[in-house]
Amino acid sequence: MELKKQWFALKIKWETVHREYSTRNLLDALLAGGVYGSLAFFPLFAILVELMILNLHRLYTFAVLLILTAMAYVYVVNKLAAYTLKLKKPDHESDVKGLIWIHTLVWLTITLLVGLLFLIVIIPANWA
Amino acid sequence: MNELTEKAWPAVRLLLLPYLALLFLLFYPIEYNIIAPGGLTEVSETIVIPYHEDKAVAGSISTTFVISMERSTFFMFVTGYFNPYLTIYTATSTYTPAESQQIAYLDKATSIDASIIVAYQAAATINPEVVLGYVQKTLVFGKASYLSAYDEIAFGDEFVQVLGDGGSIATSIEDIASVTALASAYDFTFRDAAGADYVVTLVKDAETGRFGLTLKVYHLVDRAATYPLYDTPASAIGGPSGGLMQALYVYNQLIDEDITHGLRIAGTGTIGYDGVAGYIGGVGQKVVTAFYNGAQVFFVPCHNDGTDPDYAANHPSDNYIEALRACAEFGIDPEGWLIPVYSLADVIAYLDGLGA
Repeated sequence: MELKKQWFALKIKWETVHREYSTRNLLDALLAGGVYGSLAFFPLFAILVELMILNLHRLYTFAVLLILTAMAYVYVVNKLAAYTLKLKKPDHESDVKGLIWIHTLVWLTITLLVGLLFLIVIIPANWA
Repeated sequence: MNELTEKAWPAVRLLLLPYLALLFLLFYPIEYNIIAPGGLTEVSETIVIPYHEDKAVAGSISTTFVISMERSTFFMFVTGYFNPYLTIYTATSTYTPAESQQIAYLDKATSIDASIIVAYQAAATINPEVVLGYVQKTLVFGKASYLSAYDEIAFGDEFVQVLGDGGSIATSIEDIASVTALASAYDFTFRDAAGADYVVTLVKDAETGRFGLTLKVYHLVDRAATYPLYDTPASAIGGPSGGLMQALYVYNQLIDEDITHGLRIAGTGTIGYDGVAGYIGGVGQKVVTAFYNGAQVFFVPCHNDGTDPDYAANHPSDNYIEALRACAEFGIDPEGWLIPVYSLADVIAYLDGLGA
């Protein structure tokens, strides 16, 4: 019952944000977050991958670092998307921040699960 | 997006040059190669023998691979400079990375044949079911940049014959020089991977007086005359340095008892057709790799026959001496872990001794 209530509240929140910003603006904000987030994190990923190649005997350490970096990347992309939406409508009334936070949590969970899949299944099966 | 770009533009403008400089350091290749520790690969992944399938093997036998980074980046060079586990050296190879990879695969393929031959011969002495047939072939192993038909001849193609002076024909490496003394160009016949023969005219280089072709004699398994048969699944790892461990794994598959004794066995070294373990490069990195990947015993080639009382000083590049140095440098206790061996027979004798 509680879950159903929360789901309903989330749906209302989404409809309010969607009405205020439109799909185009929401996608534009996510694109902005994606582009600037990727630009910021690309060298960091490259550095980690190069260090991992040179220290393959510490594969798990670097795999964990890469997972944490990927989670930071997800967080920054969403943070920048929220910031872009704020810049688009400084006097907005809907709970954009709350909705983006839920979006962030969903993607952080997915990233973490994929990371755990690598740590527990893919790496032991192929390299360890 | 425009809103964020407008807001971030002063910072973007300021950071653009440092950003591009960072990308340059991260991606621009320089003339230095790096050898870094790699990992262990269980031989069961590269050689499959459907024989004694109900036999329980308690331990594992692995080859040790290292990362050979050709033309590293500036960033790798700088970080590698301060990393004691890495070896950095100037790139001198005349081959392109693709050609080097071809050579590595040729080395790997022929080292599997050598492992099979040596292991089957050893196993056949105690298991009469094991039968081995093999043929001798001369393959293209190297090409100089001045080779006149560089693109027509592929690595691994079989040398068939050369039509020499006065119509004489040479079919072996030893005879080529004696029948190609008078003229500057000769017709060579090769057989490609598909089995088709082709003839190319090779011209001697004016400066060196050589054709620019390196040939090497290999013993290749005759599958029609061999039992049990084996498969070699594709592997991304090249090079011949897994020969010794491959031979040990094949031997263990062909005999009744399990000589692993539940140990995680690793090692390195090429294998000669006489069963002798040959030297390899990157020993220090392989020691680190095996140690950090939990190998319980690590075999390394050693050619000390006991006649030189000052062997370590006189043979600093013997693989075992190098491995001992690496152990001392990285704080690894070699006692009972690092095992010097001269041949496959030594490895088998050591493992048999563990079970006695």
